Amino acid sequence: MKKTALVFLLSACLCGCGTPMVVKQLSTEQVKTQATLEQSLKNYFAIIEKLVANQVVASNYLIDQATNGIIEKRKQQALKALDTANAADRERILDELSQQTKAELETAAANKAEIKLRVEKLQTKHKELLEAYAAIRAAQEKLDAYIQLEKADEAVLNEVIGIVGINRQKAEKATDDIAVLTERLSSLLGR
Amino acid sequence: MTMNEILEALQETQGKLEAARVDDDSKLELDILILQLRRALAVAVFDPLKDLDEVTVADTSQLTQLVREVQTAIQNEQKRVTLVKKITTTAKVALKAAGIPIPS
Repeated sequence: MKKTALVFLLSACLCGCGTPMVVKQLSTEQVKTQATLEQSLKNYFAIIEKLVANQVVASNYLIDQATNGIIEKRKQQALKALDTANAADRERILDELSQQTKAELETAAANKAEIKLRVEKLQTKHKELLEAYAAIRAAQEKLDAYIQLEKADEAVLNEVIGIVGINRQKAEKATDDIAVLTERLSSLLGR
Repeated sequence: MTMNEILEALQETQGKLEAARVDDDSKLELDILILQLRRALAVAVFDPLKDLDEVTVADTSQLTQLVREVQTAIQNEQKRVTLVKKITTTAKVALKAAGIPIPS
């Protein structure tokens, strides 16, 4: 009876002892590494976004400063023109100044809006990248769950081992030894 | 010629005009041009972000679908394992009944 059980056990081991431990370990490490990398990416993108936000403040300040400077210069031009202008020209000069001021303020607003749009694109891209990575990590986690799972053939083997009363590690060692012996035998026969 | 180089050249000219105490309308136009260029530079800092449209993100829609299928496979495997354990439990009972000792 014991002999038959051993033969059955070894056959079962040779057919498949479930997922090798090293595969399970690699899978666990892979999941851990991906989770760490995901957090690193989140932190990295947050830093980039802070940097860009600061640049936006600086650029908006420069835009305002330049725009105010331009308006000031236009006023100077208008004042010079007004010195020598007649009544009709004065109205035209003031109208032009008003239009130029309006145009400069509109340009500044458009520039700021353009910057805002580009930064939003950056934020959206970061979000898309993080979402894609989260999906990759989730897929890896699911694969890991399957890898760590006790499979039906493994359950059969564990139960049979339990019935026969043999240590699982010893049984796996026996199959490893068989594999080594088979390889040596094959190489001997090959010569 | 880059925007920076143009700005530098214009500022150089502006410096020369100021040194020569030129203060006519053309000098004012030059001042305005420099300020407009500075404003354009403040926007141009963000130009590299234009290329973001060309940055593709991996399509993960297949992964989401396959994750659901793997979940089903996991549940099926768990059911198979439960069945295997029920069978072996029954077998153990039968072996015990037949008087065959089973190590605990």
